[in-house]
Amino acid sequence: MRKNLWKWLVPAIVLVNACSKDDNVAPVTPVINPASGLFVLDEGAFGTNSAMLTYFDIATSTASDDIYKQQNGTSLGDVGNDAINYGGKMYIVVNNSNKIVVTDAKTAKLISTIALNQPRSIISYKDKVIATSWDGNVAVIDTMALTISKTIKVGSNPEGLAVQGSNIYVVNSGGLNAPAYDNTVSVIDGNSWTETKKITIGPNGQKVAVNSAGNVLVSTFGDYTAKNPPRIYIIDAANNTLKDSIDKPVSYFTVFNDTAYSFYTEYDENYQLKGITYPVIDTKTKAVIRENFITDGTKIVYPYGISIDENNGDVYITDAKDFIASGEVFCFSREGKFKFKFSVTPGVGPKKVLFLR
Amino acid sequence: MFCCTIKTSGQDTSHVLKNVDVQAQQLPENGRSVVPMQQLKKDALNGLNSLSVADAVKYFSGVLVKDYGGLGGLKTISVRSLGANHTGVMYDGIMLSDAQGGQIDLGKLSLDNIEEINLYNGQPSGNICQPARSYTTATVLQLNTGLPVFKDDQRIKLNLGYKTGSFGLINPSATVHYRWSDKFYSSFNTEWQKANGEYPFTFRNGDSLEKMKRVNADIDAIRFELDNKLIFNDSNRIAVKAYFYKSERGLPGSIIINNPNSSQRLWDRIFFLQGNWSRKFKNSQLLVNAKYNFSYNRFLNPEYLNNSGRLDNTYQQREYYLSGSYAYNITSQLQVSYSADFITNTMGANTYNFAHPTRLTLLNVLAAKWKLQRLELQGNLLYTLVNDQVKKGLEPGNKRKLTPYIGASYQPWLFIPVRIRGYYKNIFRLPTFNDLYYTDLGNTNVKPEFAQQYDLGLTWQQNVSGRLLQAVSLTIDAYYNHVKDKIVALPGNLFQWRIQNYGKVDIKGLDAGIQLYFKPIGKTHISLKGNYTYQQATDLSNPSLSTYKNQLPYTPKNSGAANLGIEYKSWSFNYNALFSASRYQPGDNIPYNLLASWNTQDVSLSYLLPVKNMGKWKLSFELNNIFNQQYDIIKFYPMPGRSFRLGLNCKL
Repeated sequence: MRKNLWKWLVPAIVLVNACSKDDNVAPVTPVINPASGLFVLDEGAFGTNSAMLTYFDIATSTASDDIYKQQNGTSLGDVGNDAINYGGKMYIVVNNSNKIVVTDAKTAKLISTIALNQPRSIISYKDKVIATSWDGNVAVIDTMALTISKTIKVGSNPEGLAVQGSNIYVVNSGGLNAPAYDNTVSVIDGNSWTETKKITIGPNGQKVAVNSAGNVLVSTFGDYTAKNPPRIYIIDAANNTLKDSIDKPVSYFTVFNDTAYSFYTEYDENYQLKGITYPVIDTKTKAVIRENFITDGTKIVYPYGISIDENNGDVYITDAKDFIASGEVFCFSREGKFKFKFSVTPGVGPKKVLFLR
Repeated sequence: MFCCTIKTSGQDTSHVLKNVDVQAQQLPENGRSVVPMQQLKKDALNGLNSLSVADAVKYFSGVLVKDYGGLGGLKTISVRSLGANHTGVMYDGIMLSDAQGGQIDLGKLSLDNIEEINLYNGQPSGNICQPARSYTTATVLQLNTGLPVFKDDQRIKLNLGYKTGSFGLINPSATVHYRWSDKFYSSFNTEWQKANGEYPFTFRNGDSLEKMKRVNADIDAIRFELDNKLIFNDSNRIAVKAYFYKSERGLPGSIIINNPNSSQRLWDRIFFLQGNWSRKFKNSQLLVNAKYNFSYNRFLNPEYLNNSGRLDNTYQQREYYLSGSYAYNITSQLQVSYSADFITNTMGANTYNFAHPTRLTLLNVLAAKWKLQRLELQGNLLYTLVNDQVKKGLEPGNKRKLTPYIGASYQPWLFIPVRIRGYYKNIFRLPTFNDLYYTDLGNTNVKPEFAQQYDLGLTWQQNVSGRLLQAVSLTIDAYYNHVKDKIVALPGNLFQWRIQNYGKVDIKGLDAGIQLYFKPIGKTHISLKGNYTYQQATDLSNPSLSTYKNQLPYTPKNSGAANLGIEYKSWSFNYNALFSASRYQPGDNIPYNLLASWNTQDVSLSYLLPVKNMGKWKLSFELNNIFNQQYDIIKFYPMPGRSFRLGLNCKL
């Protein structure tokens, strides 16, 4: 029993960040108010129904217990992989509970539950919300009816999603087919809702983001051989072809104002953690701006997610510790200086930070 | 522990014992033991409403059984918070082994043909002529199937049983003992266990309570055992055993909100052939053991989201084992021994890039025992040499370790049956094949996990001439364990955790047990026993985490058990209770992670049918968890509520 759990215990790192949808939006920069509070999605340990939502009030610097349970009387479920705010609602991906939970974005009160097999990542596009399902599909959610209006077949074990123009880019990891990983990105036309192309990149793609130069950036873990090390691939969204790559391995990244904030947990051949770095990369020039985002020596046990406050560019890095002890969330200025932190206790494995404005 | 042994009529003894002797016999054998030893014999086991060894050992003090629930659920034993990998399980004198995971599932070991279970902290300390392997663990659980006892002219003995009950249980068993001659005996034992395992439980999700049913919890297991015993005389005997076990079961998994039902399956096959020859000479003793073991298991996840839509893994293990032990009496009080074991373990699997390891282990033990009437001293040194070879991937270097044990027992006053005892043992558990070679997880740099044990205890066994009470047996042991380089899995890259020597644990505890033997009141025989366990198991792994200095998960500070046995003529009644105080699930020691205390109470009633000249027929009825306590030992693995069993047993 136990041996089978290993493969599931740390579900993959998800993608999608709140800002990516804005990158492609409009010529006018929308007005973004300062955040008054933060919702933190805690993934929880696999098999223990301990996905949680922590609410942190910025003015009083106090963190709540599981706000979802307080508001709704029941627990979220098992393994909270991703969450977004859209249209005054919060969409929470609860992977092993096979559902997307829709709540009020301000109160976390349950509005509806949408069943989806092993969902992983979520993003919004126009009036739709789109989620990947590990069974090789992408689900398009009608945000009025809160039902799945269309299911589109993509590659195997799709992970991250991003929008550039009217295309949705879906990273197919094939993570459960190791060592025969998938190595493609599916392009879905947001008008016809069909898969129009599969672009071949490196094996085991994970996260995807876009920049203002019309590029789609995809991080891959590689296949753990010398031939295919982890790296970032760059797709030209104008013709949907692989254009370039950045020879920089990252475990997780998110893009804000064309700058990629990332971390990399490096392992040796015995799978022992060698070190953690936090590369900052200019996605237009491929230049590594800083090898380590954190400039004041602040130590994080095990970084697990990066979210950025679009109002002021503050960078929130979550610390999953050993996935047993309560996690913490660290806030840094964009210069990499520590600002504050808080514990998400009893939450474990904090992943995504959403901003209440 | 001996709640049923007061009645002598049921025993196959022809000679009549004097009253005093009967009393002396009642007292358990653990009073003189240098290390704490707990014992359950057949009659006591019959009163425990237990089908498997896992159910029975819950009544020992210091023991935590990690029970994932149901008949087919995994059940492993952790003694004094050292973890399942530190307990060795011996079956008729030879260690069972699992080089892959290092944990024996006690749920797979049936009680049907077990005559005696002994639990030793440290190691078996009575006889130093024993296999080197019995010195290699921090705790030893001995399971013995025993020798058949024939009446004077009897050639064949039959023991037939049938049990049925809740959750679709069907459990027939049969044993044939055959006496070929005064020197040669054979026993054949077989048992079939089948159940759908579908028990109802109440699932709490915050404010909501939901009645649910455990599904995919079925089991279908069959076992055959053949024993041949050649007994030339008391000092020269040979035993050969063949064992086969085959099972298929569902793995119900944890109850996940909105996704409670699992469809994973597990198939097991275990075969072993083992033999031993024991020979006593005038001043010495020789013991030779040999074993071949094959095990196979297949794990199927038919809902795995890879391209083929399923994960289907098979694993095979083989072990060849040879052991020799020789003990020599220098004087009548001083005995020394040398034991040497050689073990070969191999493992294969159909998983990608599997290492296909072969492990050679050589164990050497020098032991000595000095036994006076009031003082006993023991000590040994164990030298372990391990060599692993792999077909793929990295190879760990050889491991060489020298580890000691010393123990003493002392009776301060000649006429007061109180003994003080204590022991120190430093021992390790080797990294398992999973720890070292599990694909994309194993770490070939993992070192052995060390457990240091200190124990100081007191035993008092007294025949008393009270009006009601006949005898009292009391044992109290305080202990301190320190575990370093504990092997744990820590988060790594995508999908995988990494094995590391990460943990450090301090364990302070107290085990206490009491047994009371009452004088018969008319034709009513009563026995009473209880035990209590205190454990403070502190996690000292990482000072920078909020779990630092927390109590280990699933470890109650207080727990206990009580058994009451009453016999009246052909009737026998037993009441068994288990209690566990609250404990924490993995995570910080905070109220959110607190799991409620629980207790279960079982009763059983058996009746010896008035059949004359047609053997002994016994009808039994068991009611388990009579107050329908809803509880989890492992969070989200619900345990069964109230259930019953009906049994018929016939001895011919």
